[in-house]
Amino acid sequence: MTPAAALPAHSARPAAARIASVTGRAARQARFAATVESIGHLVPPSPWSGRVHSVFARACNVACGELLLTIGTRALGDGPTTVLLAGNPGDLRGRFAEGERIDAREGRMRSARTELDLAAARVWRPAERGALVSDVLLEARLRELSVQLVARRAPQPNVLDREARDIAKALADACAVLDVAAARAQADRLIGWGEGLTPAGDDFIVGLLAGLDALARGDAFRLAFRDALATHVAASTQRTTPIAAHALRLAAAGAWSARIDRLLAAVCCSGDGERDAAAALDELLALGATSGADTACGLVAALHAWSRAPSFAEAA
Amino acid sequence: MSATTTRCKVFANLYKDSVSLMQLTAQLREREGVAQASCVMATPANLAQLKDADLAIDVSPSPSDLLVVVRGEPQACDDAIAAAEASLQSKKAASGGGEASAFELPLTSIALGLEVAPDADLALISVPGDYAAAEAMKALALGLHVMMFSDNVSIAEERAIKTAARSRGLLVMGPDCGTAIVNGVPLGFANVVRRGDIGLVAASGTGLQEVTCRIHNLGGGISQALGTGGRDLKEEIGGITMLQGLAALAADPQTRVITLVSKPPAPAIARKIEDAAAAAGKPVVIHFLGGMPEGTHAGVVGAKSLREAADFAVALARGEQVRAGADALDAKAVAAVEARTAKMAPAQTSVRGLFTGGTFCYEAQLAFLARGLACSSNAPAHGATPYDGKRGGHVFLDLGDDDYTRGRPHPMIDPSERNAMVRAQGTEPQTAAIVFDVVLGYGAHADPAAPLAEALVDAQRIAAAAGRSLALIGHVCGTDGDPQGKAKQVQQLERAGAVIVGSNIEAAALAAHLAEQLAARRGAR
Repeated sequence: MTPAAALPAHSARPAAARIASVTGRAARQARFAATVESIGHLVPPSPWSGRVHSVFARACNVACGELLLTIGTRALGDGPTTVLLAGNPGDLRGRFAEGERIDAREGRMRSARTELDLAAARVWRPAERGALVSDVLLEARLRELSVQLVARRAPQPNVLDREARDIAKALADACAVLDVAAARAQADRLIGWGEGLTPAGDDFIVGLLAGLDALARGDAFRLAFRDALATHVAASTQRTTPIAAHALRLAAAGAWSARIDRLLAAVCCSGDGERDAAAALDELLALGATSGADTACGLVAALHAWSRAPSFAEAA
Repeated sequence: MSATTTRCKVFANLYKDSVSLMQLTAQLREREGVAQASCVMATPANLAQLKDADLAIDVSPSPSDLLVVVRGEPQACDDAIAAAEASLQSKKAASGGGEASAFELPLTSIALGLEVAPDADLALISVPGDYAAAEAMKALALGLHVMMFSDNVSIAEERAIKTAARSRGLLVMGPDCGTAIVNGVPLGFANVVRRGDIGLVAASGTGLQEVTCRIHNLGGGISQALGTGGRDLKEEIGGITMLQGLAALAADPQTRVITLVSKPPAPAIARKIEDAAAAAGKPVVIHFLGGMPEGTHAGVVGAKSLREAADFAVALARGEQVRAGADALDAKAVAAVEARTAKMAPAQTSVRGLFTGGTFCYEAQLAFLARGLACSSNAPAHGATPYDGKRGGHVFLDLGDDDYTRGRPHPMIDPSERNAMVRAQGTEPQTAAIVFDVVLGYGAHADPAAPLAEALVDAQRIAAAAGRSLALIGHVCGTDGDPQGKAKQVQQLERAGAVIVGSNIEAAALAAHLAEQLAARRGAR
């Protein structure tokens, strides 16, 4: 599946088309003003309107059509549907309220209390990925990564380390032999499984789809498998929380956060991989309570499945 | 267990991170009468898991709902659900505010902390020493004052950090700064003292606690109590923090009297401090342990002890004349100790000081040395000999020193090692008296006197069985406002047979008096 198949067509328009100056009453009435530092490449061009879905200290999710955009502080990091604010905007719970309307037009985003200036924003999009490293090097990097990941998960295990462990392994095994039916069945069991805001099973699948994407290049069988699984996942997202569902739909469409992208590049592509991979893994692990670790688990499982390295489960 | 039931509660559109929910689940499962519990988002996969765990429910929540399910005794289930509701809807974990959710990244840096608390202007750094300097520099770059609880920072790094801070108009308390009270907020080990008009800067943690507590107990109050770290007045650092602190207190309208406390500084630094104190425009009390200010400056008063520093500061704040002296020992305490001395065996010749506060150990040595009584210590004051591990003579041990805290908590937090040493004194034929401190306040053990009292009773019992009598002399550094309650702590120790006096210097002086009596007795024989 391509991004165009899963997301609104207009999201592919260049960011320059979204940026313009604005004047008017609403702008003058806004009590808090902030500058947007970067916009994810799948944030739709203005004009659009959305509703605040949920607000956290450092992130505000805005439902906008099929997308769940995230307005966040730098700590959140770039993502395909993320609007990152410059500087220190303070606690976003004081800036936005659940259910309120947000309008984006003429280079600004406005809510009842807040106005965001998009004029100086850069557009974030995933970096062009370099050539894949040799299988030998990939295996060596994966081995190192697996050891680090196992050590980091140990103090805070969740369902992926217990009840869902065999399911996750079965999904990875199905990927290894390109068994679409088995992969769908295992994915069905994982979607929505886990305690939190983004259940661990969903995070695992996001990482898995990203990992499969990285190694599918140039291989028609793998691409077909990956698209078949992604299509199935995208069609099953009503079975999980709205925030996790959005991440799954994005992953199915080949889009994920900069943290995931950097880890993939560090592991799979040419460069100073060992050093970069460790740093990129640390960065991903810092996401959420366990979301980063669960995503990394899925990513490593996929890379193992399509490389000749021993599996994550064996390393564990 | 009686008949069981299953209760559930649905929290619509409530988002929590997985760790919070796992912790809540564990808490519910531990409750009396609860057989099983689970807190999850109500996705079909999780509902299937609940069914497998015999936690099936008869409601139909949506995946965006949070579900709490409990199985067990009916009343226990109701109580657990109520507890879960209270926990989930507490302010800290309110809807949309799960503290560690995917959008509430863990605070893994000072910069992230500043995002959450943009009004913060001080960073407290307590990381291993190898990383502390870098963190301090990051905090300074963000415009924050710094308190470094961390130790094992090199003196070169300390100088670099403090120089950088000074150039930015920021203050660095530490490294190895364990105590401060800033704008009424206690940081590290600190006591509950009233706010007032006496400001302090100290290069000694327990010294700062002793002076602030005594000021409080005398009816005075504290405007600010700043720590500098123990090396600030060394030549290499130049007293950067003490001079900055002094200047800040001089400019602080809430501060009427300033008190400075330190072990003896390098002479050149002492002169700088005294000159700055004389120029402060406010009365300044200086206590350099083991020394007095060298020069004579108007407005600057030297104090001989921590107790005297507090006494002088309170008098000056009240506009009263400063009266040196009050060295006389409390007659009742002397009588109690002498009664024990009379029953001591001839071999009992030595005083053992077992301190949790380094400055108290230091001050006790000075009290002995001032009377010509030789002593040894693992942290020797000038004139004392290094403790060689043998048991002869008067010995003062700083049990908060690295030698005793490697791999274990500080004895103010976990006094078990000190209590074991107290017990062991019962078997020591030479030991005549045990001198000790008990430090109260935030961060300290919740009830340090209770286990210490048991150890003191044991030590006396063991000694008595061998025909010996032990004198037990202590002081409690704290206030009645402290979580442990000073009066309650004193009472427990007195019940255990200890003589508790009002300050560390009094305890040391009383022990020195006993040592002199024992020496005189030996001479008479």
